[in-house]
Amino acid sequence: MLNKSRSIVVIIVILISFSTLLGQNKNCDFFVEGTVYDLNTGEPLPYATVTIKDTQKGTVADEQGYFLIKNLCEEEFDLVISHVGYKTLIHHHDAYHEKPDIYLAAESEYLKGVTVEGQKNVGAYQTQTVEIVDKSVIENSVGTTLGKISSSLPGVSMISTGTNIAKPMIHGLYGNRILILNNGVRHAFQNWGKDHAPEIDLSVVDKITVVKGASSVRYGSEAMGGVILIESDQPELHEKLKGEVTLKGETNGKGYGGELSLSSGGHRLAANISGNYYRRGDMNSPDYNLTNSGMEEIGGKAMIRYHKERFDVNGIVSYVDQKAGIVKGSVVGNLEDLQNAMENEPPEGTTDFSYDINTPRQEGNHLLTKIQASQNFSDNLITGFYSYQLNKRKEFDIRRGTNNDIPSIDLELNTHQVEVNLMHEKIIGLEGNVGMQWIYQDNNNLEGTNTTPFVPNYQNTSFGFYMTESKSFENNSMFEFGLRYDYSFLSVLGRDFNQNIFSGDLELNNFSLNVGYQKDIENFSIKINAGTAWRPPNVAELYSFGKHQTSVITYGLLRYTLDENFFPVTENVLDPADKNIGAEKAYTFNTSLRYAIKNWKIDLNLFANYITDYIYEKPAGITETVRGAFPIYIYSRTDAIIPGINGRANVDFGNFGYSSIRFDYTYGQNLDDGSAFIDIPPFRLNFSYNKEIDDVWIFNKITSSIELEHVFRQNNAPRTITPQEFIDAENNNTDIFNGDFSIFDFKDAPKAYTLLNFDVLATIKSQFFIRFSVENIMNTDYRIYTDRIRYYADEPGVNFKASVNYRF
Amino acid sequence: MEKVTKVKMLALALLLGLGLQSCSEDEAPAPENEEEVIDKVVLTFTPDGGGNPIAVTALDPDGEGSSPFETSDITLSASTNYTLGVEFFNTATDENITEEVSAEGEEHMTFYGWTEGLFSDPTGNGNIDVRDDDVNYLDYDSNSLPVGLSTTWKTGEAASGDFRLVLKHQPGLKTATSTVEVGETDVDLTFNLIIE
Repeated sequence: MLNKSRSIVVIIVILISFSTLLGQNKNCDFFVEGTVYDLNTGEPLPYATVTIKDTQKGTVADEQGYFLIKNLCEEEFDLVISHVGYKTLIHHHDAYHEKPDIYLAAESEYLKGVTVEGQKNVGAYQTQTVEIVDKSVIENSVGTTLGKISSSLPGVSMISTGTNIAKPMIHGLYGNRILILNNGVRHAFQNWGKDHAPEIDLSVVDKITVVKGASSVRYGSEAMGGVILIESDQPELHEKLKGEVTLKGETNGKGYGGELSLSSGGHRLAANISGNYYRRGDMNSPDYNLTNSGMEEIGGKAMIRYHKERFDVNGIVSYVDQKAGIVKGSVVGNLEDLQNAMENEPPEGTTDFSYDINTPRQEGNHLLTKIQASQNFSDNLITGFYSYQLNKRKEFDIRRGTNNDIPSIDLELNTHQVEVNLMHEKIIGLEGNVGMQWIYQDNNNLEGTNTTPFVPNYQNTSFGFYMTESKSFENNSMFEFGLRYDYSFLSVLGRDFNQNIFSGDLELNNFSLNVGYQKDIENFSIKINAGTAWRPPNVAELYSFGKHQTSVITYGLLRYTLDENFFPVTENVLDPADKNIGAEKAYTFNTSLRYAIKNWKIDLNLFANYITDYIYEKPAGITETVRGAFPIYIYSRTDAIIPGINGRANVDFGNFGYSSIRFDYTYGQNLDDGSAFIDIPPFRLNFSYNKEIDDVWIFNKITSSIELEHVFRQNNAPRTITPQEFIDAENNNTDIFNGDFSIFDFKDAPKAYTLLNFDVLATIKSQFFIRFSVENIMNTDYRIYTDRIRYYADEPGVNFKASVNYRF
Repeated sequence: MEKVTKVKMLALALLLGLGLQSCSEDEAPAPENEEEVIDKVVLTFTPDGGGNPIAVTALDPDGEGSSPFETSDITLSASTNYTLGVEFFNTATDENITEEVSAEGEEHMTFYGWTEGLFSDPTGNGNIDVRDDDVNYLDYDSNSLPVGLSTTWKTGEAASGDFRLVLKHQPGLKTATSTVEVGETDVDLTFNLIIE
């Protein structure tokens, strides 16, 4: 076993050694720039006085609220911002942030001013397309998921199993082809299958950034389609105790819950804590109750930060426990059961509303701990962290007798991660990052499921080192490149159907590469990025065997060989070398264009992913069991191409608000046989109109928006073979495949639909934030192509949501 | 700057060291009893008033593996009364699941279907297609609904055809009208039946 504490000691030693060799900058060429705003209106506040505490230096902000103070001898200091009629604010400016946005509160108000700072550009994805979820969308969200919230961005959609279980999809890729970074840590969870969502508590998330396109160089394997960066705000220094209480609820599913957070910061030390609870019962589709679709979530987070000049240590502990029901009528047995379930509406077992969560359901909890230290010296920043994650997951199927209370899947995943990154100053004109990453994972099946483990136990060790550099040119252009080497070792021990032990080892080495170019010309800017990305096959793709929460029997790549009729034979468990198992590799190309003129702003993003040894599931025949006939699926490999285009146009009508139009198109093709893939999101169009009104009745500001979303039917879908056609073929003794084992789906893609949503956010004295929204106003019945529940039930109908947020 | 490089190299070396400590999985999952699975079904036709019972076994040794399994033929005498007993087994745990099914009678029901004309009583083709069609059940659950582990049959003239048995798990769903389409299928077998 590994000595985990050793790695922590290493990082601390490295950081301490850095702090001893620091030199002071005596040239006095530091500077600070920022903008001052009115907290209430959000408008720039002209002519505020900005001074450096305990010095004679200072300035007055200009008409746009902008200020710049030059010739500073220290890199860190306290800024004092004052203005007649406003409360004076002291802000500690450190070396990690740039361009603070300072919001001053009026004397008459209860609240104090705040400062919002952007992290210094960490580089490494400057030429990549980056989208940020609007903070207000996250802050007052009610009963939603990370998958759902990020799908409001162009190029991002989601794959789901009902409302509770959803994961993000970027440019048509999901699961192990997307990386989720939770406060810099790779979110480690049972990331296989379509029905496993990350256990993430949205209430502790303050910022969601999506990097679209291959990002393996900076983040390692799996960052093939892109990366989702989830961040929580750092506790701020020089801040008296303050807090927030939020209460929220929704009508559909009678959901209710709340959050509480507190933060406080002194001269050196700052901390915050928060807690969250939410519960929802069965949701309602327009025509019937979705029995067993309830959920319950409880979570909490604590962060602490110690700051010394140029030195920063921070720690996070967060925990979330989620219980998610799956619509009762969606878990079925053999082909005939599947046919019945697909035809029956309302789904079988539909009863009246209830908060009960029975089988089938998933119970997951996730603990994240992280300790990070960073040290600044001249223009370099070295950061190192250690993190430990514990993820437990239990899945309950509908089973006979006492087994109904026993999980069919009971897994525990331990993950340790160490990362060291150096953001270095300009060397021969190059700025960038070098660093390394080490990850160790241990996944174990817990005893007592009364069923053969669906995936084996495994240990996975990986490390990589990387470098990403950029060079800026005077004509507003920039060139970026990155290189990375990764090593990964997977070791597996499992049980086959007869409870005999099997084992397997897989060792992989990989080089990744990335180049990018960015140029700004007046109103026009262009970003071009090309890169490679990779991922090792996951254990489910290699070793899964049997039936799990679906109506098909699935065999992993190492559980079958094909006979002369291309029928899978499942006698032995193979070794990875037998099938020449290697990494899945992607070559991706992204271009984004931005054009801004007068009141128009247009963004356009073109992408193409070419993936070799792309692993996907496809049908391979039918097997007769005691329970009747089951379709067999196998994991197979092919080369794939997934290109697409998405974009957004905003037009500002001044006093009449602004509109935006968004579109999203993704195409996918299997290059071996020309067929389509299941789960490529269909073409989507969004139109929204937004309007802000100031000073109405008791409200200081009201922001409202109305959104119309139209999703087309997916025409680039695989052929359909219904279970009834299988049954008929069996009865007539005909071969339904007739040698054609290309991919098929059991049901046609759902019809096109249009949804209308409304949202309003009102603030009172920047202390009360009241949000009210209505989803699916027209109570449209619809099904989502990338939601597994589409085979059995409609999506939820009209839903009124409200939340009240109070800050003190 | 020189010192910085040294520290960088040191860190690199250390991380390499950590990475090379690749661990092999040393703990296999515990063996599990496949309690869920019925992989052996025995049908016993006992002629009324003596004679040798006719037993037919359906066995699926590789469970969710891909190899197909075949059921043997059932051969009965013409114009004879039989009592059919059905038993379910799990060969992995050597467990007789019949009792469990019987104890949870209010969640289980066995449906039968056959080629019309094979039997003179019950007549028709069974209750797989139409729930209310005749099947002569001998056992009932606590709600007085049939379970179907024990049934009576009277064969007709010499003929041959299909004989199908479907065991459904209908937790909270079983009613006087619940059909073969309700609930999950535990067993679905079709035999070749010969009457001579």
